[in-house]
Amino acid sequence: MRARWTFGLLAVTAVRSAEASPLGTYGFSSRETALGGAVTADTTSASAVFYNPAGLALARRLELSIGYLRVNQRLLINGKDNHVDPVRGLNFGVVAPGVVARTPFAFGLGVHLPDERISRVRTLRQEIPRWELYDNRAQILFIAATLAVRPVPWLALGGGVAFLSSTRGEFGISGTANLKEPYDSQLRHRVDADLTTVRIPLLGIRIEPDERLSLGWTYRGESKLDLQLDADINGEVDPGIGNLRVPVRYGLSSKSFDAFHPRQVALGSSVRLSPSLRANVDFVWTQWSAYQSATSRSIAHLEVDLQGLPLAIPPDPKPTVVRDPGFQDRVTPRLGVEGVAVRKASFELSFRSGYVYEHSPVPPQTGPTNFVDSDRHTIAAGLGLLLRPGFSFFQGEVAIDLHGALMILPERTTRKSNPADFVGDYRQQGRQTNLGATLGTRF
Amino acid sequence: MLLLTAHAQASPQDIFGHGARTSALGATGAASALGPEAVWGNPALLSLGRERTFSLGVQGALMHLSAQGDGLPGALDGEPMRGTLIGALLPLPFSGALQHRIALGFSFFTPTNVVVRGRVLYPETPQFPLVTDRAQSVTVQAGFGFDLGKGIRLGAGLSALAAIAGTVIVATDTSGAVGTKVDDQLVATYAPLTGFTYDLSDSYRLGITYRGQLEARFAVRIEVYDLGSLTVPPFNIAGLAQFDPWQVQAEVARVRGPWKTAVGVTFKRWSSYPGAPEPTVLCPPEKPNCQALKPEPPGFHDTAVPRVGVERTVVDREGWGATARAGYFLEPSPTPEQRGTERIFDNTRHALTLGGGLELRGSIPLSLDLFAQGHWLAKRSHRILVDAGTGRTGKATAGGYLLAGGVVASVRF
Repeated sequence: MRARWTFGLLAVTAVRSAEASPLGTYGFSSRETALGGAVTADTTSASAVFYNPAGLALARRLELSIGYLRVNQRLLINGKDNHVDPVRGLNFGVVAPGVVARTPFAFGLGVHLPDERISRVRTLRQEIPRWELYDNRAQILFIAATLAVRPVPWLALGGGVAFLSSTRGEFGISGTANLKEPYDSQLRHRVDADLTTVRIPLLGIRIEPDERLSLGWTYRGESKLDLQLDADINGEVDPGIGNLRVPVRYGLSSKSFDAFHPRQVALGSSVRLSPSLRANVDFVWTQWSAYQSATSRSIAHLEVDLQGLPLAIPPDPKPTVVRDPGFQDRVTPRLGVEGVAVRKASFELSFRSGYVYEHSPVPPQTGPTNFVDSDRHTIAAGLGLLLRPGFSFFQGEVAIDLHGALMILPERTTRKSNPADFVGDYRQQGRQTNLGATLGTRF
Repeated sequence: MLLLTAHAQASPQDIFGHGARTSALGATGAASALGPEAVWGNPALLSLGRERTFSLGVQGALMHLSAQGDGLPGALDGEPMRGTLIGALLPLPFSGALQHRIALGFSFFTPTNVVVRGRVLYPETPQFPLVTDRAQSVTVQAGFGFDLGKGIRLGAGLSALAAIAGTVIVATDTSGAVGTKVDDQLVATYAPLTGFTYDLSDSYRLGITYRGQLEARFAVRIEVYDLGSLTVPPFNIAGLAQFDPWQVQAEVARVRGPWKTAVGVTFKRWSSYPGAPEPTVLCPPEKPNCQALKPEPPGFHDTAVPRVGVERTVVDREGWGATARAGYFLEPSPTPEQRGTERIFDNTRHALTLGGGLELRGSIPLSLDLFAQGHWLAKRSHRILVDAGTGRTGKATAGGYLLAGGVVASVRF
């Protein structure tokens, strides 16, 4: 039995983009992570590309940095580990300050490169329980370039673009499919696809009313991944009975979103309590209400004119109905404290600590959906060692920063309104550990 | 990143050069590139940088192509290319023995609307894959240069692209609803850039640049289940989307005086190109010799591209300076003559390049560089198979021209 197929159209459209995650979820650079990310008004390093581009204009030296981050995740449902992928990756940064037309100016570049991939897209059916905010959303590259100026001593402005890619395309397959020996099918394909540019705006303002106080404002744009697959397959089945041909047509449409990262606005302040102690407070508004489910919306249709032949053809499956996830906006407070424990001519030793409380934006999952989440408490700490080696060839500084953070997701119970729910009631809780180091050189 | 092509698609810098100055100088640069564009031209020359430089520019190209003959459409114009260029040069301010010796460079070119355009068209579809879609590709490069002294400089860096690998499974669930499960990953691919320069004298410099093979593959496996008695094999929607052959560019340049010149040649290893399409059906391990279709190798051959560029300092005053530039290069086609039903056209290109530069040296240290290029595709005839059934052949003639231009503003700080 052989079939002759003409696959009229098989289109896949995917849009990828990068924004907050994983930097917003786990932090960018060790100093900033140890401070709980409360640095909207207190960073001039390459991490300012993400936290507040305006801060670059306050940098005084050319800075190159490299760091590594590892987050282990132990996220449980009913006491069983769901084996959510760890997050591992390198961070790179460049800050190049200077003066143009007597105005302080700086260029910054920041990159987070996951170890194993640039990004990962994984869509599941909405009934399948998944840790929606911590699964594959963090498996994505972040790369951004920003500029900053300081037109007056108390004001710095910054802006830039984070970008990755998007893909839109069309696949076509034609030839002869062999139903009896599928791998002998004489098929070939064509592709017409674009990887389109996605640019996500990053904006920042930093105000320095006096030497002890800094204020900051940051805007980070929304991004998401669209994935669309359309197939229209036309062909004939040759059942091996004379010249009899059985027309077949198969259509499929599937559309989904993934890797959604919401729009964010951060307001922050940094107060120098003494020459050796600084305290930071940030509030970050996140528009989770715009969240779109990663579940695919699928429709399939199969037409076969059997002509009395004994072929088993299934009825059309029901289309997928995707429910509104109903996430809610949230405001996240972030606190950070940094103190200088030892200050010598050749080195400084600093300690840092931070705390973050993130209220879960996911509503109670009483219906058929199972977006698993819980509130999250982050307790962070770190050390910073600043060396001034005074070599003949190098008069700058070397900064070695370490961080560790423990993120606790307290137990939350999901109770289904339908006693016959396929998944049923469950308990979720978890813990994440975040360790990393950053090495920076300031010339 | 999903990168797709019918035949080899290389990067725009491989067609036009990289940066406004070297693009105006016949896409030379192995011995003469300056500023951030040296990342591509020759990373060793980054070490010549003394000031931090940030560049921002735009670049575009128009493509008027034609294929005349039996069953051919005539005009086959490619989509215009537009993009932005971002570059940075960062000399590391060491002191003592390392002063003025090490510099970093970064360079990004992103087409306005696409990161990469890729097409795998059926070979019988008339197309100019080497000069249309290949121009629509992102460029990400980083490198460093080290001045060893005694006129010797070394440099290294990398170019990066991305490839996709994934699976799409279509099936019905226990409730009878259809669902698609998608799991795909974007992975980075890299190619090395290395360079060497040697000052033959105060005025002349030798430069050699090696650029590694850069390729990006896409592979999406599509599985469709629950079709009853109908079964279809997994579809391997795969191919090689982006391909730059490894290449060596050698050049001698006069680098001092009001007249500066560069003469060189670039060898491109096109014969290593394996072909873009991959089998739509892959043979399983238990049946390694299945009868699924396998694409024919493309039969490309190596090429050598001669280049020449001339730069004349027109104005050299305390507050500003101006230069005029011109160049030429000859890009032979690596594709074989089309003798069957294939309609994959490519021609040898003669490229004439022009440009100029304006440099302000006052309180606003700004530079402005412009370039324009005209590529004439020498007419090429093919004896193509018009009717496979009767064996009737016909004559096909391909030709056309490309126009490109751009402007880059650089600030030193």
